Amino acid sequence: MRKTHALVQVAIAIMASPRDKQWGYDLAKRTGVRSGVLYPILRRMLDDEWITDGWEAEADTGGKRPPRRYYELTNKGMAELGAVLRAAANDARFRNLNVRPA
Amino acid sequence: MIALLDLVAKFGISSLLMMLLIFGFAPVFSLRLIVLLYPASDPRREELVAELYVQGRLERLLWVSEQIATALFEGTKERYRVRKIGRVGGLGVTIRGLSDDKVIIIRSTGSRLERSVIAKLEKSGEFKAGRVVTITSTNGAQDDIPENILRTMISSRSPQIRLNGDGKGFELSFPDRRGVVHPPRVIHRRRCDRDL
Repeated sequence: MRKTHALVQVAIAIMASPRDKQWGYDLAKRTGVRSGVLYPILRRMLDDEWITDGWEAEADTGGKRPPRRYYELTNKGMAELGAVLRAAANDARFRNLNVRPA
Repeated sequence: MIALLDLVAKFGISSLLMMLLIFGFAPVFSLRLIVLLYPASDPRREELVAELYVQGRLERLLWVSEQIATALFEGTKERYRVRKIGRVGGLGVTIRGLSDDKVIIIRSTGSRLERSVIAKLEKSGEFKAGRVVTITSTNGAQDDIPENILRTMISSRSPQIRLNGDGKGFELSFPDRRGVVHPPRVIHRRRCDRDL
């Protein structure tokens, strides 16, 4: 996957809590990446098995809204995103993102 | 309620209705139209609509307008991909051989290609060169997968695979987003007549 600002920002956000469920809208808010960029990145990550997806349990929604889709980092994803962050930490293009390698 | 009556008194009923239309009805309606750009099987359709409900009312309008670009680029691309792969039948498992050595199985309710399932199948030793796999769909349709399968891609939200104890086949079941497991698609394996 091509290392872009958006990918690095998403990597930082996901690796901040690698064991937690990640939600699309929440990720967009935390990273500041527009959804038009974020969702294709998530799709590529799914295709490459960096993350897996699932659906929120109906009980958690209180029946007031539709269940949301969540994403979870796989072991492979953790390694890959770790590598992305390490590479980004040494790359001048991403200096402003204050990348801390995992 | 009093605040609402105050608003009506202050701005008039037409202004209030306009606000309800803009902040209440329009975002949901527009988004539901926008997600139609995604193929019917794409989980992104439901995902985007579900995400809308966790946002504040004021954020919704801007977010929905962003989704036009998202759906235009991502949705149409997916639509093209699904169309290229092709879908056979509306019920059960859909099967399409892309070439002699590649087969794609697509379930009609999901478009993501679930490669981890393939890895599981390959690890299980069920898929070996020189065999033919007959897939029986719930609608009774059968289809043979050509031997020398390099990759089988099963699209679903989270398919569960269970190998039969006798080693003669396996079952795939597909829980929907409510966790309900639908009747499994039974996949039988038989040896290829032409021993390769």
